[in-house]
Amino acid sequence: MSSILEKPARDLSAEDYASIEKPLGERVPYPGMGLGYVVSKNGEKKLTRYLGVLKKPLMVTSERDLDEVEGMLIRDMPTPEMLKLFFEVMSSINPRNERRAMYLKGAPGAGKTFLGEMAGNVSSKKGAIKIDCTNMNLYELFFETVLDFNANKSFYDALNTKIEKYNLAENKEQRDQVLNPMSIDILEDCLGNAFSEENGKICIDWAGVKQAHSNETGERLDTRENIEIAIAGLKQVSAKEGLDNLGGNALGMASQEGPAFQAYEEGRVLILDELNRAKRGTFGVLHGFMQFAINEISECRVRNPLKEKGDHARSDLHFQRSKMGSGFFIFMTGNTEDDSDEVLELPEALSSRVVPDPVANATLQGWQHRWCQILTGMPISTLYNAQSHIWDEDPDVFKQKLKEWRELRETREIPAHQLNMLRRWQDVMQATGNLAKFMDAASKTVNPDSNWHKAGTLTQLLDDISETFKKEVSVDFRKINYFITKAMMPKPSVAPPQDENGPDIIPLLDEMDIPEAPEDIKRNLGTHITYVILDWIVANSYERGKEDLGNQLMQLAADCALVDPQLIEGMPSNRKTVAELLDENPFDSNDPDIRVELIRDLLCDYLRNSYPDITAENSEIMPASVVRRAIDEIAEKGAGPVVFNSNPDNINQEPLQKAKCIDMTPQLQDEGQNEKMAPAADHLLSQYALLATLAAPELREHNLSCLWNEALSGSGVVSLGTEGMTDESLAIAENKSETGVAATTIIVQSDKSENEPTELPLHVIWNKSMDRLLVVGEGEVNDSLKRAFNDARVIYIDRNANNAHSTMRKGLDFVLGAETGTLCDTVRDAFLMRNTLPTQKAETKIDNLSKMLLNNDLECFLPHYLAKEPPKLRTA
Amino acid sequence: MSTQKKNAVNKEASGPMAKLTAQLLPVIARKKAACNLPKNAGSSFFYEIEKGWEADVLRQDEDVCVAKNTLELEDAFLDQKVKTILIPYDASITQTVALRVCRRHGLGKTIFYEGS
Repeated sequence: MSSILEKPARDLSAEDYASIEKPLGERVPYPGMGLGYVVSKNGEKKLTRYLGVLKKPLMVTSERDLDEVEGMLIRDMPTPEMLKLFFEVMSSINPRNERRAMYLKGAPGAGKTFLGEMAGNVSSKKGAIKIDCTNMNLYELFFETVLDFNANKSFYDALNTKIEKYNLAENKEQRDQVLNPMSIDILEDCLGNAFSEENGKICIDWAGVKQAHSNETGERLDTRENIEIAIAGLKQVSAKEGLDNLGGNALGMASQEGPAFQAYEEGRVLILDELNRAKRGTFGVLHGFMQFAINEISECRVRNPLKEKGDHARSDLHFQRSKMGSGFFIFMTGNTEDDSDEVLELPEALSSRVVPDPVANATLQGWQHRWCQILTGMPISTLYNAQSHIWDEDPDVFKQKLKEWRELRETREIPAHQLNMLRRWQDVMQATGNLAKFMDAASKTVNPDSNWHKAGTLTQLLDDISETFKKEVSVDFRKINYFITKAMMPKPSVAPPQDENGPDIIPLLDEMDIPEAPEDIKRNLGTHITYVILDWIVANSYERGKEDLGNQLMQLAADCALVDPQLIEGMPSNRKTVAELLDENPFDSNDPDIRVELIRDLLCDYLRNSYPDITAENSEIMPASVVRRAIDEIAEKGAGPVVFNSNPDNINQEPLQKAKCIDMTPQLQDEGQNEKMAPAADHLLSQYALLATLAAPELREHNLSCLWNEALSGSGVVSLGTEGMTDESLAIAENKSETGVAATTIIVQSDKSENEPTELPLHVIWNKSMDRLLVVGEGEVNDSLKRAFNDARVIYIDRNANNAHSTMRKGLDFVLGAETGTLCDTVRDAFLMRNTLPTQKAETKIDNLSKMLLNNDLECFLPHYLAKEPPKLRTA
Repeated sequence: MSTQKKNAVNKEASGPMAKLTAQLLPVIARKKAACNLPKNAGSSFFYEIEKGWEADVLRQDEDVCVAKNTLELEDAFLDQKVKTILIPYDASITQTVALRVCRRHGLGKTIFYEGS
């Protein structure tokens, strides 16, 4: 006997109990659901459940060690609304409990089966035995018919060998020589869905043959019928393939003990999933067995109706308490009768013995729990909410714990993106909170029986939602998996028509969101999840003529940050969208190694721009450690602006080069003594040199900080403000505004100046609080920089591009966020502190600013140059 | 020569650097192979991997069980000691059947399915 749980309960010693009872919650803070009164401010009390942590450990019956139990139960923790039942299930599995059955009944997708599987997997190393009872003849829980492999071993070995040869054949001719094409057709017919053909490869799921066929109404056939069909076909194949001499003409079947007896003997959890969808008229066989399971009787017998002459199987099964494995437990699940016509009411004699425990409806907490679990492998939200006061004190400790628990005795290879997401747990919390709100509200919106509809707040939608529609689009926990699976699939990247008179179309997915390799979608998982949810809304509402429902769901999507509210209401927003929060953005990574690698990659792209023939990998061009050292030096020395070195001769010694800011704004204190000399145009930094650093973490903040100074205040040519209040435009022009917005013009060398170097004014607006940047320059930037700008929240506008005006409006909304309306004029005035322009009129404030920044005639009268180091000055 | 013997010979014949490589390579290969999002297959993680050095290293790894047909795959699932299963490109197992077998067994394992 390999497992203690195979021992009958009466034979378990005190040591056995000590070894299988694992105190959950003793070492790790395990969430639990308490029942108590919530006292309102006016003293009213309401009885409710609340989420906290277990103060007294829950004794979990398991033959696994405590580390394994903790790891599994933290990762696969049931949703908060299921925690109460989890406590009951785990307590019931204890061998001291004589009642060895439990029946959970509730809405589909609530997590009932998940709970049973988790309980079975935790208790036994062999795991639970799960049986889908839909359309099943319940007698087959006790006896089932199978192909008699032992009696016809030579035939099956020969057939398997032929299949292996067939799959290794290089062309059709060779394949046809191995297996007659008609045999393939016969196998497909006789083995039903146990036969599969993909990419020229055929495969037989021998263990699945007993459940391979359904009848014309979709009902599953009994194992015996399946096996009879299989044998009839296999005999034909045997004749065609010349395998009759190996026993192929006399294939047989056998009956064997079913899963109920296996679970009883091995002391495992038996999950009877969807029990009330089993074949009508077959529940009778369960009566005696359930009486036995709940200890009304100490033994029962189930006769073998399949036994035939010569069959070695038993004529009946004898279940006895005294021999039952102590871990044996029957976990049944069923849907509520109103779910479908196929859901049956259990016979009273049965339902009175296994009283169903109702499953609570999904809550907001549950939705968030499942999103977190599926995205990261950890129920971050429940772990956090159960004792947020502790984790708030030191969020880094929580981050470490999440990683530790994610890896605790995990035997499967953890997907890399899960560990990445755990490092950004706050972003995941925020994103999943929004996704949870959306799913919760959407589930109520598409369900005409929900409280929302009952309250009459959605009466306008009732025409859009029929009972059939509700079932088709129902939103339950399984939808999360559906959305994730769809998110991982390739999607079309479609260029909208460039018709000037046509509507302005903003594609949901930019071509940059569609990676070369489909598996790289995981980097932009947030973007792709958003896409599939919006696609689901469109497909199930607008495209089905349900305009009101579509509008309602889109409003919901905007409220839940799935789409930028600007797209729905034209309102700029400071809020991060789900896509921004979940996408794996190296620019925002907390991991120093990832940040340095990104800087290195940008540097290499910069180098390739000058030397397109470079073919070496980035790691060969420049070790990340060299970049790290260069970045550290900047931090230590606090130097002026720095840019990427493009000289291959010394790039490994100096990956970064110093630059110099030369502000020509005269200073009162100088009193004309030190007249400044402007740098020569050929010694200005190129636009591209500065832009490339604006997508690089650390360098971007460093360089941007260098672009602003206090020269304007010291010049005496601008107003400092009145009555001691600093002028807001000046504050913005000098990067001192409390709004976090800073704006300036920098003179660089145009990238277009092929023969004669020319100066170019570059307008920069930086919103520090949102770390968003708008840069207006000249000429296009290359694709790799565009992609990097996307990650780094930089919008670059070529002021001569055809769509510059419309892009500029979006860019201003993006960088100024919700403050666009109030700040436009002030930002414009900030620019005018260094620039002048011919009089122009525009209808709105935003147009005023937009037109000014795009105006080629804008003249910078107080230039601030960005020059190479050391600068060569113009001759006077 | 069996895989185990081949590994033993390689280890004996090599210096400390090669020894370290031999120890690290399977770990790196697993990490590389698990870079993609796994498919949802019961409690198991089902990774599709491309034909390449990762699959070659996994094939040589003593901790990885190689299943070439459905019977071997079933056996691998029933074996509690087996945590990782490689289905090589030349196995007679289609992805549909491999996923079905994963879902049939409650215990979670790591499956690497090598595409052709």
